[in-house]
Amino acid sequence: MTLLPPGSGGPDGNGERASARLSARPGLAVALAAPVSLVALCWLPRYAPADRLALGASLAAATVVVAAAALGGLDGGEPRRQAGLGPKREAVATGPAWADPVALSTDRWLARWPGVAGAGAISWWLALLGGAGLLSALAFGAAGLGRGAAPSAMAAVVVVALVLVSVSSYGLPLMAVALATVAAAGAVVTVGGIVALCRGRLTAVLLPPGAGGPHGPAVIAVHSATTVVLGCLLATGLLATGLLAAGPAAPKARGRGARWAISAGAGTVVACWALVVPILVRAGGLSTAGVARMGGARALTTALATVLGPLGGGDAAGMAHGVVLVTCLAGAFGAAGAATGVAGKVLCDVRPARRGRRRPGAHDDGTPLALLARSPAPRHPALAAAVATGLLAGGVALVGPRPWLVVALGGLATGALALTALAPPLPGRRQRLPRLLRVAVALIWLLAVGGALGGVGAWALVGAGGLAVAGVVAVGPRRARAALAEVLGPTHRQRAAQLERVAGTLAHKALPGLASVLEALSAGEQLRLPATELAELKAAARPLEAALAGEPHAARQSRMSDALVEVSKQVARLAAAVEAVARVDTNRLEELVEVRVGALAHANRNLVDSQWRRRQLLDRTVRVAEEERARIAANLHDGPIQRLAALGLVLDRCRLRMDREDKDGARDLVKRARTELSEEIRSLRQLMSELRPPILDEGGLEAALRDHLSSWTSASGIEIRLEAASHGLLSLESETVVYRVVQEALANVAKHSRAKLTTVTMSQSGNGVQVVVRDDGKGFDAPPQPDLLRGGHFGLVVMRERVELASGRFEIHSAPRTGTEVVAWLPTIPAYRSEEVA
Amino acid sequence: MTASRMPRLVVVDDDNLLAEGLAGLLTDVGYEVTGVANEARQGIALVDQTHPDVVVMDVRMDGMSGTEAAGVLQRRHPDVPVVLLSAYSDEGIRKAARDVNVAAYLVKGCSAGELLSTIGSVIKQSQARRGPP
Repeated sequence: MTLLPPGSGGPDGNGERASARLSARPGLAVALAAPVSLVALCWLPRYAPADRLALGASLAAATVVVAAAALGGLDGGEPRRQAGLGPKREAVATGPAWADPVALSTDRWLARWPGVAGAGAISWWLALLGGAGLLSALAFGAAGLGRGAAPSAMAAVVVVALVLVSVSSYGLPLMAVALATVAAAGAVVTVGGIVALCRGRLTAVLLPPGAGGPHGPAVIAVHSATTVVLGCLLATGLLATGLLAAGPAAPKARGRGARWAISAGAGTVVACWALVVPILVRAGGLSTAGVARMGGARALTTALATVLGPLGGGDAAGMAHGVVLVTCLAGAFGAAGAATGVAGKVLCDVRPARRGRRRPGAHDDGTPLALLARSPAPRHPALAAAVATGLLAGGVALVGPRPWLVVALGGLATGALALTALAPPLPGRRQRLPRLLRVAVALIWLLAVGGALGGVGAWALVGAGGLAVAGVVAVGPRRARAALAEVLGPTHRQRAAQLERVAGTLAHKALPGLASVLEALSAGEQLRLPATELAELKAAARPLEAALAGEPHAARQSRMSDALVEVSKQVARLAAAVEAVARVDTNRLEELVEVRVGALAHANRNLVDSQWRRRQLLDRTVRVAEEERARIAANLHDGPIQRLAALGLVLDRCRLRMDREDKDGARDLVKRARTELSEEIRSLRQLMSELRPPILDEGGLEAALRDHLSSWTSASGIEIRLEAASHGLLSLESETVVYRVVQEALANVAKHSRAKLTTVTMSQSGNGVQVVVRDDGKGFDAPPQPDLLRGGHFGLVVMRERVELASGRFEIHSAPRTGTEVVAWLPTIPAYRSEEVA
Repeated sequence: MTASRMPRLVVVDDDNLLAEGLAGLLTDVGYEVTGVANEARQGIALVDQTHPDVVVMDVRMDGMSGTEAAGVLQRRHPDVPVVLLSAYSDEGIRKAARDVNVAAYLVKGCSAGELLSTIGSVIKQSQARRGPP
């Protein structure tokens, strides 16, 4: 059993986990020890059967709650998670940790089921209840007080201990009040004991059988020494258990605070053993005398009844008595160890804060007081149920003469508080009812105890009240009022303060980050991000911002938590949507890449085809040029050279005839030579005209075309018409292109068309001149422009290339039995166009 | 061939005017022109028929060229010399003519004296190879 407080785990992560383990132990220990001890009390032979029944029922309810707390593992573990959200983490963690929706959900879940958190509180209350019982037992046992004083003193101590626990959970000032109260209670107990002793009424309840007999002092001495030794052993075991629970590396890992706590616990143990020595000496002397008085056999029996009582030795009364004493002793030492541990933590954690580690507004960050304040024990309405149950049990046990009154009142309050604590909270006014009920229970219990105690109890209450007033005066009314307010309703204020800090952190850290995310996502909206998800996210963030802007309030905090959770869900949804969009974009990109690759492949094919066509055209052009040169060479060979050679021979023959005086023969040859010469001149002019028609330069395009058409129709026998409208001025190069296109087209007509009528039309078209050569011949299947070369239409290809090189357009329209139409368009001179426009 | 018999020639040229001019010149200076042909095959036929002393033939003609016809005549009538008359003065054509053992290669446009002296020289060489009758 360990009774280290929940806050002794330390502020770091390891300590937090260790504290979670530690905090689970008290519940288990008390769940086992306290009910057993109280049940044993119920079987004390001095109680009537009705009292046993009432006490047993109360204890059964307490046992159920405590067992649920202990076995459920919720007597501190879950609330510690909530405490982990405290400002201590703020120093090292930022927005994401604060915006953890899981933690907030847990907090809200705990608020919705207060019985879970309250069950953890029960263990503390019961543990301290046992400690209070031990204190009274030791006090009365050692002092040998009378029977009448024992219940009064014990009840007073119980009440004071409860107040102490409640108050000590809320800070150092309240600790001072609690200590003052304890001191007052101790004084009251002492005075009451002295009074009772003077009246000669020794107790037979907490003292072993025979204490009131002739060997009473010896029996008391042996009994006290035995119980103290057992208590020291048990305290040592508790300390060892605590160290083991914290782990072997706990002293190093948990820093100075843990070392202080462990040192304090060890000091407590040493002090306990130091107390044992004089007691043993005294007991030894008394025992010697006692044994001499009552005999060896009686003394041995008494010692065995004390030591072996829990193990079943001795008679029934001895066993019950041993159980009570050992249990109370364990609780007392556990409480003492816990108190010293808390004191060590206070010292070690407050000191660094004084060195400047604490930040403004974080007055309770990570300090043991803050940890205590966040401990589950006093924070929840459910603790009222535990208080009532524990007090009822103790009261029934102590107020033997009139048990029915306490049983009735305590049972009523316990049932009401249990229902209140375990039921889901009501919205709005849910906090007020448990608070009022707690106050009512406290008053009822005080009245009951006062009534049961009679004069001594009243004096005790008056004394405690006076000391409480003195404590209030000592710490100041403001702090006392704050402490009282914390006692009466600490949960919601602390919760509000904690959420206020969360809200502040969110406002300064999380929301700016969220805003930047929203901006980025808004920018992404243009990239086809899902507008619906964005709208939902913004809608979810809007109430959060509104809640943060307002004054912290419990209801708003709750809405804010809901908004945070909703925001986190929306962010997760949005992230999924963004991922989906990214995936879609990836798919689109792949499709686009495929399309582009296909387009590039197509373009590449076109480029290759175009290169092939140009190469073919170049070859064809070179070949045509060579053919043209060969034709000209052949013409020169067959024409001028032959005739000039012949003329030379004629002249030689003429000279020979003149030498022979054959004048007539010479005259004939001269005449013949002149004729041949004229013919040769004509042939040369024809050749020149084919190479470059002079009329094209001298008479213009239209005149050249008319001249060519005239000779063409004579040669081909095909009727031809020229329709030349007014047109713009073409460059010399463009005129030559038009002339050659018409020349080639007419050559094709004469060669292939079998036409009867051919029309040549030349007209203005836009910013250029359009020439159309149309025949009524047989026509042909004109292939598409790119396939002219593949079809072997070299003449058409040459025409097209000539036109396109002159920045013109070339078309050919033909089909079988529909004739052929060759269309060429060439741009006019820009300056001429501008003049024409003007 | 006797001393009183004038040398006999065949003129082959696709240009009719030039063929007639050649024939007239050769006739004017005393040669006997046994035939004038405008194609190479006709010229070969005339040679087969008349067996002249010299053949004056153009090089570039439609159908068979003068060089090819000279080769044919060289195989059929090795003793009939062929004088090629061409408008081309390219060395490649001259070499082709030498390959078929033509007697002489003249470029059109040469003077009548150069033409007649070449023909006379070819006739003398031909007569010398044949020896005295």
